[in-house]
Amino acid sequence: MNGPDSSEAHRNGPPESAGPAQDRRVTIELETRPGITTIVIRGELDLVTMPYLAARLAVALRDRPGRLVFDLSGTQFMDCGSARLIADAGHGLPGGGRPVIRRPRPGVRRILELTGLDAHCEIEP
Amino acid sequence: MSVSMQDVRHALDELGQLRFGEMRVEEAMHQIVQTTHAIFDVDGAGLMLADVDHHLLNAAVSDERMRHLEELQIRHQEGPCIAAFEDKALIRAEDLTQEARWPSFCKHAVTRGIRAVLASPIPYNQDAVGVVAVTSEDRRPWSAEAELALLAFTDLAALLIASMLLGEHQTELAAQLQSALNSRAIIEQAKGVLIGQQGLTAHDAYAQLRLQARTERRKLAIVSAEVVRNAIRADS
Repeated sequence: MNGPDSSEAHRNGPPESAGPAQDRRVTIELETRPGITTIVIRGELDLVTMPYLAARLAVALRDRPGRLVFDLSGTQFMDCGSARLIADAGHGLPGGGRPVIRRPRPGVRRILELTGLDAHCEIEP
Repeated sequence: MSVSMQDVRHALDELGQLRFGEMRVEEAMHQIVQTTHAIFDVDGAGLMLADVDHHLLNAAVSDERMRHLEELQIRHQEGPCIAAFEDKALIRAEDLTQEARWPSFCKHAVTRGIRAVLASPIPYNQDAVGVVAVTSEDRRPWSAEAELALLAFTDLAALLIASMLLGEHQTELAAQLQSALNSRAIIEQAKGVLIGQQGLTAHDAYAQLRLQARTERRKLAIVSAEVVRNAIRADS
């Protein structure tokens, strides 16, 4: 995984401890408009991607956006840890705003419901 | 029979105390499975991991029925654990006698005392590497609490597997899993080729590769590599 495209690996992947077989990765892109930041996630959110998600989230919250949107339409699977990370992002928003979860797929939505974290988010179908 | 969330939290706390580093991974997996079994008050609990051919093999089981589950799914190439693994989704089957999704598997599972299954995929770096499953010999409408409890145990299993793969001690199990991860890239590429060439869905492309491997008695990864090679040749 330290081949010629290791810069790409560094950009997209979690730090060092990413482990072997990093053939495909999740991408997490930030789209910033005045007062609103959208985090577009493509790929699955699990233990391995959690450090990367946390790092991107920290960047997104640095500018203190008024509204934070997670576009999860490209995510089939999310583990409980990542769900918590996303739901807790509301703590970083001014006035205790709730993060928006845009277009979650059924599996992801189910996780949010089962963990009760849907109460800390706004779900936008 | 209901799952008490208080029991689950208590069990997870206890399991959280396990120091995986100082324990053999197989032992830790066994503990997770035993605890899952006890908490759910089910007839069987097990942890399955993929091998190089993406067959789900038992890594730790609480009960003999899990061996039937493993064997029947490999033989019929269908079933709730395979569905959870391939679709990366929690799969609930509350009554296999009424189940239309896996007809060949169900027919045999019911005669071997497996009537209901709840299966949860273990994620690792974008794909499932295995599943955690519980079974019941009676019809069982799985509750939301049961689903949540199984998710919690799955997260724990994922943690254990990550520490196993990153650990220094390369056990046989870690080697099996590593070869599964390594073969995945080429299998995914072959799926992509079939989707592009024949307009198949990802699911059907995978089924076709598996069928070919089975018919020709060759490894899934080898068949996949051939598909990719042929596509490159046709292109150039």
